Amino acid sequence: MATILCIDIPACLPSERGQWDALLDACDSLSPLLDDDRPGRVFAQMRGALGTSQQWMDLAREVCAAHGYRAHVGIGPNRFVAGVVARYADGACWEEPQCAQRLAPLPLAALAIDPAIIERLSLLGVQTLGALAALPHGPFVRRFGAVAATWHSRARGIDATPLRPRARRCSIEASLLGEGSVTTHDQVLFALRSVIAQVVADCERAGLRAGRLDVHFEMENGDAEDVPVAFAAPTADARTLFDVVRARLEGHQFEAPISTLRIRLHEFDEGGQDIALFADESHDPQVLAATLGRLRARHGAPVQRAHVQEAHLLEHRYKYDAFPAAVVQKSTGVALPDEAFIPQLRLLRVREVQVLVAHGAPASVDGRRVCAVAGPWRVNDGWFEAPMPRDEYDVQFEDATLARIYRQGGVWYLRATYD
Amino acid sequence: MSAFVCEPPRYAAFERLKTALSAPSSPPPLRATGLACLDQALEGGLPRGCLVALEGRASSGRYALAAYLLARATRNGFAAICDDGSWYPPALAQAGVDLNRLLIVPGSEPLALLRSADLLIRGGAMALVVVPPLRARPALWRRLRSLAQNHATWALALAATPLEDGLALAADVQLRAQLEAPRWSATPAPLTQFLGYDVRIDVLRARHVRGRRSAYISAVA
Repeated sequence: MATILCIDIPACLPSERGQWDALLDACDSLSPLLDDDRPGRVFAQMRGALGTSQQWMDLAREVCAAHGYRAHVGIGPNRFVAGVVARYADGACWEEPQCAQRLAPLPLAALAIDPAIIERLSLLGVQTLGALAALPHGPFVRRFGAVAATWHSRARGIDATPLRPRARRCSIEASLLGEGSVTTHDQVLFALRSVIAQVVADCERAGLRAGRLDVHFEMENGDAEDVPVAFAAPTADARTLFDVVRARLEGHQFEAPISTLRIRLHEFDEGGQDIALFADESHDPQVLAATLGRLRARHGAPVQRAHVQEAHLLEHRYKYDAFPAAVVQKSTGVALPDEAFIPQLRLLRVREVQVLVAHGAPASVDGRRVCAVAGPWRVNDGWFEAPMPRDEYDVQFEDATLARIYRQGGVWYLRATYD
Repeated sequence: MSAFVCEPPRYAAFERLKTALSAPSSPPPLRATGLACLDQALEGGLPRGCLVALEGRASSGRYALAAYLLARATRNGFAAICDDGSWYPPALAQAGVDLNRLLIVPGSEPLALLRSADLLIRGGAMALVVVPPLRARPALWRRLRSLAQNHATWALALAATPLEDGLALAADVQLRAQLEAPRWSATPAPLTQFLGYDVRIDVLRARHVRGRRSAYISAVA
C-alpha cells in the first residue's frame, strides 16, 4: 500500500531556511516521521494515519498554504516513487502494481542523475525510464558501475531507501533589551560579553558547540542589522566566541544607538574533545577565524582564496572565492607538487604596445629590442561565438626582462612579465 | 683620608652586567628555507620572526623565490599575500603552494596593503606574509618588523632595486635577486621554448651572516 507522502515546493529557496523550518514544524501534525530531504522537499510516512490518501494530501496542501507556499503533493509506495508523483503527477497516488507502468514514459531526469550520464544514455537511445528498465540488468550495471543498479531498480519503481527521521532542531539564543540604549563601542562589547555568557551557559548545559552565530542588532531609529559570524571549528568557549565576534565588529559603524542585542547560535555539534585541526602545529584555529573577521571588518569584503581551473585563456585559468573560516584541515586530498623554484608570471594591467615584426616574429616592443622569442601559441576561446584568435609569445628584451605578449585582432598587448 | 670603595655585591653585579654586554649575542633560531644553496648563503636559514626585504628588478626571480617560500609555509600552516593584482594563482599552484591555505587579501593602495599585512601578522595565524613592491614611510616598515618579530612571522617585502631607505633600514634581512641567464631551447623558431632562468640571490645584510654571500638557483619553467 502507498503510504509515503511527498510534499514538493519548487519555489522554496535555500535562503528561506527559517520559513522552511517553520513549515516542517507544522508538518509534524501530519506524521511523526518526517524526512526533510532538502529545502523544498519533505517525505512523510503516513502508515497508520487516519483518513484516506486524498485527505492526507488535502491536509498537506492546507499546511503549506498557511505558510504561503503552493505545494505539489504525491503518494507512492516508496521514497522515489512518491517524489516522482509529486513532481510529475501532482495530487496522484500510485499503488505498487502500477508503478513501473506509470514511470515508463517519464524522462530520465526523474532519476535526478548527472546530466552527462543522461546525455550518454540518450546517445545510446535510452530516453525514458521505461527504456532504462527494459535494459538487461547485469550488462547495464557492468557498463555504468554499481550505482547503475539503483537507477535500474528505481526505473522499475523499486526503491529501498528508508526515510531518515528529521533531526530535532535545537535553538540557543539570548537577548538583551529594553534597559537603555547603547551608544559607545565599550558598551556594545560589554553587552556582547553578557549575552555570550548566557548562550555559552546554555551550550554547556546541552553539551553542544556552535559553528556559527548571528548577532542581531536593533537600533533606536527602528533599523535592524544582522551580523553573521563563522567559527573555524564548533566551539562553546566564551572567550573564543567573544574574540571572534569582536574582531568581526571592528570598525563597524551603527547609524543609531542600539536598543536590542540578540545572539542566536547555529550549526551545532556534539560536545566532547576539541578536534585537533592543526595536528602538526600548535595553532589555535580560532585565531584564523578572528584574523579573517578583522580583515573583513576592515575591508568590507571577505579575504579571498584562489582556485585553479581548466581554461584556454590565461585570465580564465583561476577564480577566487571567499576564504572560509572552517577550512583549516590539510588540503583537499589532492597530492600537491613538491615545492619548486618556478618562474612566476606576474600579471600586468593589459596595455596596448607597438610591436615591429620581422620574419613573422616580434622584433621590438615599444622600441625595446627583442632578443629571444618563443611562440606563437594560438588560443581561440569562444570560436563558436565570435572568432578572435589570440597569438601569445614569450619574449626576452635586451635588458633581460622576460614578458608575455599577445596579438589579437591585429593589435598587440603586453600581458605579463616573468619574475 | 677616605677612599672610594665599591661595595662588593654591587661591584659583582656590575661586573656580571659588563660581561653579559660584551659577550657575543646568542645566534637567533634559524629556519631553513629548503633551498640548500640559499640556506648555505644564509648560514642556516632565516631567523623566525623577521622582516625580509627582497629587492630586484623585473624578471629577477623575486616572485619565484616568494612562491617557493609560500609553498614551504603552506605545507604545515597558513600564509598570506597582500595582492596588488599581479599574482597568478596557477603559477603559484605549480610552485607547490597549497591554495587552500593561502589567504589572498586584494588591495591597490600601498597603505591599505600594509594595513592588511599588519592585521595578518598581528593575528598570529600566518607563517609568512608577502607584501608586494610599494613605497611607504619608514615608520610603517619599522612597525611591520616589530610585529613580525613579536609574532614569529616571516614578513617578506618584495621591492624594486634600489631599495628605498625606509625598508632598507627596517629590514632584518636584505636579499637581492638578479637574473643571471634566461634559458631558451635550442630548437629553431617557431619551436623555441622558454625553459627558465638562472638566478643569483645575494645576501646583502643579515645580522647572523658575516659578509656578503650569494646563492645560485635555477628556475625551470
